Amino acid sequence: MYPLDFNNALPIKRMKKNILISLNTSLLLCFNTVYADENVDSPNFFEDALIYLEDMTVKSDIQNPTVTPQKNINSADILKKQSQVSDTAKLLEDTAGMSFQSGGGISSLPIIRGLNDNRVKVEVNGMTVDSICPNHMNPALASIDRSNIGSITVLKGITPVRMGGDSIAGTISVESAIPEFAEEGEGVLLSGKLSSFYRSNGDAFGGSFALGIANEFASIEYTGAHTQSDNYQDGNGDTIKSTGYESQNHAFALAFKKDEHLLQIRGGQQYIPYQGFPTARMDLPNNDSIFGNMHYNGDFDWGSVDAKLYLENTSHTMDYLPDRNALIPMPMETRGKNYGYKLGFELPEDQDNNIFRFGSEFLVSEIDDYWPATSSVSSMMGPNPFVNLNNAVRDRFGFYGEWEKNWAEQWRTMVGFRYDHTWTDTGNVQAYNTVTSDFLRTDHEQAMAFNALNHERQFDAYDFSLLLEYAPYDWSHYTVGYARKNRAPSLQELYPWSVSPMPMSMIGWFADGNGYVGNMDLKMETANNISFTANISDPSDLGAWNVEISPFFSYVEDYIDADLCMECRRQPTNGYYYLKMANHDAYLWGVDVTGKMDLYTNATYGDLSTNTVMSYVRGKRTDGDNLYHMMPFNLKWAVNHTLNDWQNTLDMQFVDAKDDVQSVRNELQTASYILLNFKSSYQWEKLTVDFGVDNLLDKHYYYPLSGVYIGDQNAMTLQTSRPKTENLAGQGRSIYVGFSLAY
Amino acid sequence: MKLFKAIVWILPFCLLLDPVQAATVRYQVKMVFWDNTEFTGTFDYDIASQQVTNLHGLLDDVAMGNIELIKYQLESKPDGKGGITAYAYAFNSTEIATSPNINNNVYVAINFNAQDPSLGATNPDQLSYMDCSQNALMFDNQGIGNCMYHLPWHDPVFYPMGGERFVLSETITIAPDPLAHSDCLFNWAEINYANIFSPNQSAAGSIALPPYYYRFYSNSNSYLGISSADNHIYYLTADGALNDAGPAYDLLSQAGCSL
Repeated sequence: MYPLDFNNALPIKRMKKNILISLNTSLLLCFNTVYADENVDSPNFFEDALIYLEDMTVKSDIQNPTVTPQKNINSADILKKQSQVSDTAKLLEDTAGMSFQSGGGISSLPIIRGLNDNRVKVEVNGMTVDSICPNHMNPALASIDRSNIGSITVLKGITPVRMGGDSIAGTISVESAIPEFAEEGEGVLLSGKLSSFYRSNGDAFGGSFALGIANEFASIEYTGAHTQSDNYQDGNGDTIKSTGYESQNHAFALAFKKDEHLLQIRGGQQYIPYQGFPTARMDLPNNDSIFGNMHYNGDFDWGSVDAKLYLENTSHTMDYLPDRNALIPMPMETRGKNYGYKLGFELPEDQDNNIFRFGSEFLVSEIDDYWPATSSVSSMMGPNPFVNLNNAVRDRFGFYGEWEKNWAEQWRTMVGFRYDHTWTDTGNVQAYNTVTSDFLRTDHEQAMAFNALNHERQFDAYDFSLLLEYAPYDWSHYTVGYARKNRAPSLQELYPWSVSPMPMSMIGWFADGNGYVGNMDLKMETANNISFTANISDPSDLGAWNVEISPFFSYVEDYIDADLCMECRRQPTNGYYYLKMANHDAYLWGVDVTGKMDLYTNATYGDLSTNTVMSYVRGKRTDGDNLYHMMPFNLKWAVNHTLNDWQNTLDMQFVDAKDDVQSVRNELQTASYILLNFKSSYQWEKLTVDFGVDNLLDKHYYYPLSGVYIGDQNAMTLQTSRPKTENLAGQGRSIYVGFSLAY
Repeated sequence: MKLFKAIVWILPFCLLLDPVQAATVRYQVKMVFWDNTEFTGTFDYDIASQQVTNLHGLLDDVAMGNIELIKYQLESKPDGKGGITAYAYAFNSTEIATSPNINNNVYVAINFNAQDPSLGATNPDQLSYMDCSQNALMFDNQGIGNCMYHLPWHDPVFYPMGGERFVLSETITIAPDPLAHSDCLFNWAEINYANIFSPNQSAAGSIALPPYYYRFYSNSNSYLGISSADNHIYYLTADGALNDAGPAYDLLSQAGCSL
């Protein structure tokens, strides 16, 4: 959204009288990632980080701060975690308020302040990619390898309308690194990166390679990455089945720069030959996706333009992988396409310190979900393919306007309004066969009944956001905001039609082992989010400590949840349920806390500091049931040591017991636990070597949101599943080592 | 005296006749197999001749959501342990096989004490079923058609496609009047949907007009009935619209009126 040259960026203009640039402190204190990056939006906070310049151009991969509290994760932070995690979503695990629902090894689903999955808007290089899989095996964050990411921005709850739309939890924006160009007269600029890693638990290994060539005006870059892992072992040394994976990513980037205009053209391909899903009834034996996008960013006298055009195409297959020892194949195929545009304009700050932004967005999401026949004769899975979604389409058009005003040095406000119109529809469906019965409604009869209905649905959403920032001192600032945000139901929430045991068992992205059917009568979710953030730090010049507290409350009308399926013939008695999507009013509340303190400084022995991240969230339906997958209180506390280019961190992670569980899904409780982790990193010129041990004490534990462990089963219906008693165990001790070389 | 002689002479014949008239009793049977599959049906049993006839019912593959009508009792034989095993099929044929299947036949075997069927099975290893109907037939990776089954003498005993339940039971009781199930359902509807189905009525208010068995509700000027032609529940509204409320089987179960 913003120009590369910070001379023209918003905060520079805001403080143009002082010709002041605030550098992201993570560039200076990159070790304290949790603390430093949280404050990128408070440029007047780090007095010791302020540099007064006459004229200077600063390159950065951090987006400009606005009124909105946001968490920025830069390339240095990402590089540090690259050896530790394969899952792109896990790059966000040190962000307060973020939690994750386990999927495959590289496909966990992000949750922001208790609101999950579809409720989180995820943009990857500007592309809004909806998961096409009925089990959400290919979430948007899994579409890009972590080695190809330059920055990640997380906005929780109160999202500016320009970055919102069709989401109520917040926004995660992932951007590849900004292309590098040669300086004037430098000639040709060659750049590249090489990295590799190995993790003992699961024998995970992989690497990435990047090569770029550029002159003053053009740049071309290739990034490739390969990652794979066997099944991991838990703290008891037991192998957790269906947790292996392999992934290959290739991406090309072509960029052109002319004065204040930048055009980026990106394309790439992802190939996942297999990925186990220990909390789903199925696995992923193949996933192929390609994408292409164009991103233009330009500055004019009257303002700036940001335009994006994109296309993403995925071919996705599900079936049982060998760990499940299935005798019967259960092939499921999904074809999906996402394409659209985004157009944004920003008018420069006027004499009255007003900034106006407006824009438009259009997104098309198409899904064909069919399950091939396994026999040519009429049978349980034949002779016809089972059609779950037939050319299902979800189109969304939206536009917005945003007004930001700097009332005084201490006061800023931002008001935004957004309208989105969503159309959904799907074609006729069919069952595996045309069998009818006098005693029940067969799939064929259900399909005929579904086909007789009008499938088209339309949703009108009016979003509104209001943010107020007050910064009375350099060492304190406060933000309060309200946002009304909407999300229309997804295609998978609306249209899966069968209430028979087998199709329902194959549908569900909640890691609860239950079976689901859609509901065409679903209404749009409307969230009323209120959030307050206080950021206070050491008033002295030392800036030795900082604390940020952010309580929040959200009331969601027509929260899309689930009820027991009343159309289903029978409910199992083994703890699993057949459920139907349903609206319920709900409310969530909680608090995020981050803190940092310098402990000791010595030129010989280095610097000691500590930082912490704490989160708490609760969610309930107004009918009394708890919301599903609410992360209990959790705390991460780290002690950091830095000596020149050597950095060490010992951190402790405490997660409280999960007692508040949802009854309608028969969510299992989890016990509290403490994990210890250690990591060390040494940088020698362009070479960085990482070493670490996760779960140092080899603790056996259950992450509260992992879900139920069914990765060793091949049950085709819930009734044939073993009783629901076991959560998915977390990884046991894992020693990892990695290196990266930038040249 | 003549009268006394006559009674003495006739009484033995009466005693002989009485067991014959009372011997054919209709029983209802419910079986649950390891894989949750259920069979609910009825049979007629003559305790004097130890003859089983008219075994029929519904095989409900609960796990996979498939129900098949079993209507041909083609075999019965002593089990050698004081009981009787009776076999009934979907087709008028005893031919059936799995892995590979040879047709779409379905069979059920029940077993009971020959002296008193309500005592249940004398040889539980005779309790079995095999469902090769279209919606129960699964083709494996080799393209072989596998039926759903519970065969105690087979390895494995049931078709192993998922977890285990390992519940095997058989309950046999004297069958009530078949229409009692319909009346039970009507009574349930009157309680749960009193705004439509009122005033409350007894079985005496039910009317048989084949294929329908129904009640009329004057407050809403509507009818509620079950058709023996398709075993569906029908609801006729005051404006004359006939609504098919679907198969009666599930609603009978929901209303607690199952066989």
